[in-house]
Amino acid sequence: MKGLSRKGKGRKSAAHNGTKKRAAKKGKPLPKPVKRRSLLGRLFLFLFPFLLAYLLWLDGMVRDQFEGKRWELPARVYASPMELYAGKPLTASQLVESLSELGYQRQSTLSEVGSYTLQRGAVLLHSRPFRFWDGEESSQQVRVSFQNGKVAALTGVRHGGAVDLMRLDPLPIGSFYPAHGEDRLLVQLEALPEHLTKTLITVEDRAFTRHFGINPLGIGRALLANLKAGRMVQGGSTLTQQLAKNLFLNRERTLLRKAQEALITLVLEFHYSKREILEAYLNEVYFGQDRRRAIHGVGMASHFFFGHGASELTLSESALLVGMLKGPSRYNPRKHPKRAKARRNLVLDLLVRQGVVGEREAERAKRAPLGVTRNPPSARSRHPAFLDLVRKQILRDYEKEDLVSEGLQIFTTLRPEVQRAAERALQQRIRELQRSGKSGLEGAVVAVHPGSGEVEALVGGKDPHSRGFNRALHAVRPIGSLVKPALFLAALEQPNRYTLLSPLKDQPFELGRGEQRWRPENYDGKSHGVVPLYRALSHSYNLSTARLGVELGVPHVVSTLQRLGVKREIPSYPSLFLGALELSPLEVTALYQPLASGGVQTPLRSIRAVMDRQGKSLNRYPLHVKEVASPEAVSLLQWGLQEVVRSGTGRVLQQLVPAATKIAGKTGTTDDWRDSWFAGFGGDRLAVVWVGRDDNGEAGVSGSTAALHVWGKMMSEVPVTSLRQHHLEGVQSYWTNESGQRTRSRCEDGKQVPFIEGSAPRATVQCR
Amino acid sequence: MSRMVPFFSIVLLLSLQGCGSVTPIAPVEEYSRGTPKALPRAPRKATSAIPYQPTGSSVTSSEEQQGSVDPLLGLLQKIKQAMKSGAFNRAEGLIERALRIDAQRAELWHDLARVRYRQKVYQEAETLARRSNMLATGQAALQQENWRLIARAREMMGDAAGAAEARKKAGL
Repeated sequence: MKGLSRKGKGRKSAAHNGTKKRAAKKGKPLPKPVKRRSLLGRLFLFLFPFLLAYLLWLDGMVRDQFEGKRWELPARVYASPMELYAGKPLTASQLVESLSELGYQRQSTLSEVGSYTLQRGAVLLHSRPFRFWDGEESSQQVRVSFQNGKVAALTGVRHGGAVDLMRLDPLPIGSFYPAHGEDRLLVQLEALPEHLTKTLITVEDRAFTRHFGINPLGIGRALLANLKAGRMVQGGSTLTQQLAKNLFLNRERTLLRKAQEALITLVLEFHYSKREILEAYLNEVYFGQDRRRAIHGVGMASHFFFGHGASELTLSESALLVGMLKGPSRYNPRKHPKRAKARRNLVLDLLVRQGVVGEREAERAKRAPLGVTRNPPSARSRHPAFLDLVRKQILRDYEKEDLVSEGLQIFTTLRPEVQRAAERALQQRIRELQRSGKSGLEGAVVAVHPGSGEVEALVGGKDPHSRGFNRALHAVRPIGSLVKPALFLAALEQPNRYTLLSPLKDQPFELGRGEQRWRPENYDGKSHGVVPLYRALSHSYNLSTARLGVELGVPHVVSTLQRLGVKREIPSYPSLFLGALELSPLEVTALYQPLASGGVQTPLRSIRAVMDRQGKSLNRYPLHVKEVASPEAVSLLQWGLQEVVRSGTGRVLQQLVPAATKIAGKTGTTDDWRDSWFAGFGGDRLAVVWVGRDDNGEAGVSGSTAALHVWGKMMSEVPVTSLRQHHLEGVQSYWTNESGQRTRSRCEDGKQVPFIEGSAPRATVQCR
Repeated sequence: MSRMVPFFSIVLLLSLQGCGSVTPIAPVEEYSRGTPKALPRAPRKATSAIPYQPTGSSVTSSEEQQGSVDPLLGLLQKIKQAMKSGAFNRAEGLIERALRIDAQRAELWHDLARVRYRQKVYQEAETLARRSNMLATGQAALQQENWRLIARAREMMGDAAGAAEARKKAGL
């Protein structure tokens, strides 16, 4: 009843207002205007400021969001790009493996970006352009020829001239997603093929360029079609309306939402050009679900369905994508290929009817296969353990929210081929050991470039895809004999007291009393008499090493370890000399890095640079160096560590890597065979391997049976260069004999041993 | 302005429908606008203490590259240009890329040492110049340059005796 009476008043009021206007025109006084204003009018007057405020707010909000960062974008993480140049160690099959991982298509011609062809002894490729933090890499067509496991020449396909250096686009290795799980790769309209935009407009909104955001004719047409069919068969929404709805509103279908959609549509059309709206639409639009990840925008959809960028879309692919918009799950080409193909061909027919493409072109496109890759690129990281490290390092400089919403592009140091080799080597060795009766084994691998500290690979367990416990970062275990090089370095840094030939007693002794009593033993249970210092290291003799430690003193060894970069608490009692120190594989790698790099420490880095979503460089993580040990003493130590591989506990490595490659390394085994370690380096790679059990139980493996094999297997796949003996002014080499005496000339079984200037024994003996 | 007509007609329509309440539109994205804690570094001010001299003559490729195109040809040019124009951060990035291709090349370490010197990180400049010397076997001119740089760096760190020693090695 109330409603009725109000309506009545309203009508009366309207009539009265009409009289009022006429009266005013005639110049007659207005009778009690305020009192007699209708309720609706009053309501309107009352609400008008709110409406205006709402409109202004809406206008501001739409503009803010549209002009600012429209979407929460996941951070995208890239591996180190492959550099191509003449002389690079690379085979044709390795290049093809990398290209197919990057989604390059093998074709008969090079016409398309992101394609390659094979010739005898050569690969021809049409690279994708890519914006790196240090500049743009343009697309190139090159011929890469191979000889003897190396790139023999790199020549431009068109000009025929030599190309000195180029890099491929980097492999995406994972993303840090926002909570809502939307995944998109922003694309610019200029970069998209024209047939895509034309197809979209033809199918979705033919009047797009002419209407003001809302197309009354379209609505009418849709209404008629729906009435005829008796159900929803056609939508009258323009592209702008769809964008307004997708970008600003939820899926609710109420009148209020419709009104808001219309308002936002008008705001968008008022402020922005058709091109801007079209670009936003193409980046917003939804293409389906991949588990928890929602695929949005043509950029991500192209990668998701076709394995290449949106700029490389063919007419048939464009038609498929646009066709899918009607029902992304219904026309999902992987799940319903027949339905998707029929839909695509329907779109192509429409393009012909509308004169957008010629009949022949459409026929060709209709005959083309769907072109969808068999498996979608997984949203799960390829290398979650490495990504853990990236996350840990980037969170030092960025807030967590930014990491999942700002669309950061993170360029990492990961070398996919090294990572793959490390994963395979660990998996294979553990499988072999399990076959021989060892059970419950796990492992971890860290590989870095010693000179730059760049982490090339990081494996957190035998299952590289597991997101569980990351042993490379978190398995903190006693490092056993891996501690010894620090102790020998501390000795060699005192050339007036120690040289590589210094005689050490390898005989039993004990320290302390009662519970404090410490009585070291050799692994073989024997004592070896008097041995030269280098042999104590190369054969990992505990007795002589512990004696040396006692001579040096615990504090000195502790400070040497700290100088080399150990941040954890170091036990300050003699069992430290034999490896009571507990570290993670990553920390061991950091400890060995200065030993592999001439005494110069470089923080281990997994990130090279970070760019924002527009491609502006935000951060670079440059190489920093600090000399933490005497380069001369490190050079001597490196010689000693090469002896480990030449004649000591690591000699089995010679069967796994080419004999000519000089490798330095150290094996480590802890009490009761719980942990197996190997840390080794050549000229361009340092890698640390750990094998053991998660429950710290007896694993029954030694450094040389487990970890060393993993190391060797890995380096046989991705060769490491020979360790170089650098020219050091203060170091000289002399011939010595088996018993560690300096000889006048080269003797049979003699060795050339380096000495720090002035420390070599003066007395020489004859060869026996 | 004609485009505003439908705009305001919709406003009117909306008000007549009685939908004027300020309803929050969902989902409106809220961005955390936290800035990275580590902001991009502004190029450090260059000093004029050491004028950049391109290491031109000492540019040699390592043994693997002989007989074919030097892969670093273009990069070395860019490094030279960046250093000449005082763009040390850029030069730094280019040198690191070059080092990833050939870490044995002594002049790259020398260039990086120069960059650090210009950035006033003298200790690092010295360490890098020494690394360059380790690799510069048979490159007398480059070794001399390195010692000269070490002398200057030591001077800046207040190590007069060390600087004198380095100068001696540089043959000055």
